[in-house]
Amino acid sequence: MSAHESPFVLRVVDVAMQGPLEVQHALDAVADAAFGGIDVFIGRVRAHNHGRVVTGLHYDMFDPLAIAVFARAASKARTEFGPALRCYVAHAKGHLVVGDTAVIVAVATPHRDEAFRACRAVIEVVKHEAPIWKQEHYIDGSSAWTEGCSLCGSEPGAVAAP
Amino acid sequence: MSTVRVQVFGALRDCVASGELRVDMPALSTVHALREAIENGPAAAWSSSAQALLRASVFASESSLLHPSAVLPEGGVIALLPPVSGG
Repeated sequence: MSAHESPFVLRVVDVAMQGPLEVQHALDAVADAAFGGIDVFIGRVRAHNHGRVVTGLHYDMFDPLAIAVFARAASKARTEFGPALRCYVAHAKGHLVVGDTAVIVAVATPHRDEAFRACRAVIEVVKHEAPIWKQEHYIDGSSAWTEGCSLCGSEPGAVAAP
Repeated sequence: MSTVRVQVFGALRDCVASGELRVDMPALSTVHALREAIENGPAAAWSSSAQALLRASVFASESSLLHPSAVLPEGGVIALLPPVSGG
């Protein structure tokens, strides 16, 4: 890894404008001759959720803060698992159908253990802290925003989502 | 007074067709004061489930969440974020 090159590649991908997420982009982004281990997490749109048949999804995002959260997740992984680490995070935005790729996290490190653990740590932050919302479309034509995790918790009187 | 523009996301879009609330606030108002102004203003007409969603939501700038006691940043985007469900 050259000194001037960022160890992180972080993307919000509008699938209508930029096309689908590509696993190869993640592998290329974290490739490094010094790193022998790459772990990749791929999140895909599944056909069922809570017993309902899902036909597609819409992802809404607050892009600048999402990128900031991805950056903090990657930096935290580097602090925890060592400076020899490269990280790629990309999340799709817009309309996806069953089987489409929604999110990719890839981490490269010198050995496998750090890659596995850092990849897990980063995807958990993306799932719980990134400003991303999922609207599911069902086979009966209805749709619903899925319940999620409240951010921060510093707000007095905060309640769970209805 | 100045007009604060608040972008909404996720299920809050169903309450705010334009995707943006506009609230007149005195200079140096806090995030908490903005919340109260929304609760007593545009959100007063919302359904009880939408009001509960608002209470579960937090405010943010483009770079971080905003604590209730923080003074509203000038000029930048303010976002109102309901519970998240990415990935």
